[in-house]
Amino acid sequence: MRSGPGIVHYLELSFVGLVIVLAAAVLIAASGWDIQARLFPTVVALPLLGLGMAQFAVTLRGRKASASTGDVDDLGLWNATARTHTLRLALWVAVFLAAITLFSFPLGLPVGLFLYLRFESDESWLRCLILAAITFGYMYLVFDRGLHLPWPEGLVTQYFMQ
Amino acid sequence: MVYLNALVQGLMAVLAWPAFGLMLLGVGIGVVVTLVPGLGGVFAFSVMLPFTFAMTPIQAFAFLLGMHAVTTVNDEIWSVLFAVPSEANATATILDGHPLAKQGRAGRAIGAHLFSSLIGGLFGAGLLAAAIPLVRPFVLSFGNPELFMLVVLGLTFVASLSGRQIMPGIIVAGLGLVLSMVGQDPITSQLRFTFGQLFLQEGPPLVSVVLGLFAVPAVIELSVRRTSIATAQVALGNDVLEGARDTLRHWKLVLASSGIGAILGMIPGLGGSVSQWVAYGWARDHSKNKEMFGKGAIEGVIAPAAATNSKEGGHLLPTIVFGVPAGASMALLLGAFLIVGLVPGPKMLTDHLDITFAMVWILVLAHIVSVIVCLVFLRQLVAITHVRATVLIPFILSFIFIGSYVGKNDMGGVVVTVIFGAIGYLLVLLDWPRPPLVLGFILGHLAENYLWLSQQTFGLAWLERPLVIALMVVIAAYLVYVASQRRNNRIEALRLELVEAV
Repeated sequence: MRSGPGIVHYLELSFVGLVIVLAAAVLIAASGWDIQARLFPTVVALPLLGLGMAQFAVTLRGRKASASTGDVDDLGLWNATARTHTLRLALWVAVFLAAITLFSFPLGLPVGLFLYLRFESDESWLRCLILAAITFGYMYLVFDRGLHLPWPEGLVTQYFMQ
Repeated sequence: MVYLNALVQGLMAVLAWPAFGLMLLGVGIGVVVTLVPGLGGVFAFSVMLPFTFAMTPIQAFAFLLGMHAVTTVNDEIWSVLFAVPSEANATATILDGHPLAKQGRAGRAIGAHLFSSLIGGLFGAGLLAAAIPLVRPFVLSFGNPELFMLVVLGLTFVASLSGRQIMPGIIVAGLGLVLSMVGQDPITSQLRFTFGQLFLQEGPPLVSVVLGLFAVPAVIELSVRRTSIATAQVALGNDVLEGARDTLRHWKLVLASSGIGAILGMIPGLGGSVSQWVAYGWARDHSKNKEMFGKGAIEGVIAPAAATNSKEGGHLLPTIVFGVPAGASMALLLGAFLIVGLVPGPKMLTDHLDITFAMVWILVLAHIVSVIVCLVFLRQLVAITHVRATVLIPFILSFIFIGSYVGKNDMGGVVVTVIFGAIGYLLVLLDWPRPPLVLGFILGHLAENYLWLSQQTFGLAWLERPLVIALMVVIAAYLVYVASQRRNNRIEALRLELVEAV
């Protein structure tokens, strides 16, 4: 999966920069520990720091090379359509998380599912209700009655329980 | 006698209820997952891993390996029918399988594929069973220094072969090792990088990390594509049994391809793609009808199918015996080892030999069941491929959220999944590999223990042990070889570009 060189190179530089910072942070933190706790982090973080710097240089050189030759963007996944759909999915993930926070898992997931099927997949109201009901039934029977999972309290359900 | 007892005990354990039922359930889930291209075995593993918490070791492996076996069988059916591989493992089959489908001979291609897969799978399982007694004395002679170097070797293989470039793979593996340090130090119980969070005291939950890295990007890709799996109707035809007869007619090719797959499968990092292409190339080179390859040669379907499925037995050997996974799915299987309280390595050939042989039997039975299920329900499965991806996505998301919570019964698991989902997506955009991160995370604690014990027992003299030096030389030689291969490929690609430009 190839992506446009401009944005992706900045992303790669940033990511590698973070790796360098992380490796340095591990070395600094480990310096204050006993030898038993310090050995492995040092053995891992030192080469990681070196490799991070080398990769930073490689990525920087690659960015300059493509800028100088004027490469045409290879859009791949990183095109307007892909970005739009990715952002939409991210928003729906937030909707699911909000539903779980408000109603807990057994009710929150069916609510999120219903909303997605109705407003994103454009399914009929009846089909959405049936699928959401099936999901609720599955959650209740398998995870609640079967496995007795301790779901977190939802903010709304907690209020009504009180 | 020890091996015979363990072989029989393993079989009895797999046939017992509920292990056998869980294997069937795993096969069923694997069949459904492989309907969606891009999801495949690794995704199925990551989503189903949380459900193994409540299982015994044999139940957990029956469930996971049952699911895994069917994904390697099923993947290539979609390559044949729609030229859409469910995973990278299934690409060689498109070359000859899809032309056969376009000629109205899809049934023959699928029949040949299914029966070759069955024989390949059984061959791989048999090789695994035969290799265990041979490998056991060798493995038991390994000490902590050698085991540490094996972890480094495994990380090097997976890091260097799972992506375009070596350095990003090794960096990602290093990140995985850093991630494994979060929580209590295994030797002194020193809290490391927990930032005062009780949730992180035992480290981030493996399942949440895996779901974020693999499942979330897969869902994003599905959301971007937004089509049904199949975009055209394909006639199956009635000659599935003709394909089975083709497999028997080409029995030498099936055995040769199975051998190629099983042996290459034992080499960590090579993965299924290499096995199938080597087998395909071998089949073409030894065929009397070379000109038919690429246009519907049945050998072009048989060879990759046998190799892809026999590699599963090969994959399990280094995973179980050395704790060095042969690929991404095996890296996740290592996670299952940790969840059920087992440590891969010498003990799997001594104290837990029956579990090791149970895994062999699971491979055998799962392949048989998978082929039967695919044959019986083939037409129905093809109909399901017309379901739109946007209908599947909310259900997949639900599974991801449930799985990420169940790991520690804490919403922190869901947060970890979201964070690693973003990291996984970023790695996909950058074309950096993800399996080394998981592998580093899983093997980090083991590596730390091995390193500390080596240091305590031998001081720096552990670096002078012959096998340790040999493994270092292998790692260095391997890195040089891969780097030079990649450089040669780049030079060749540049040369071709120049030629075309002129």
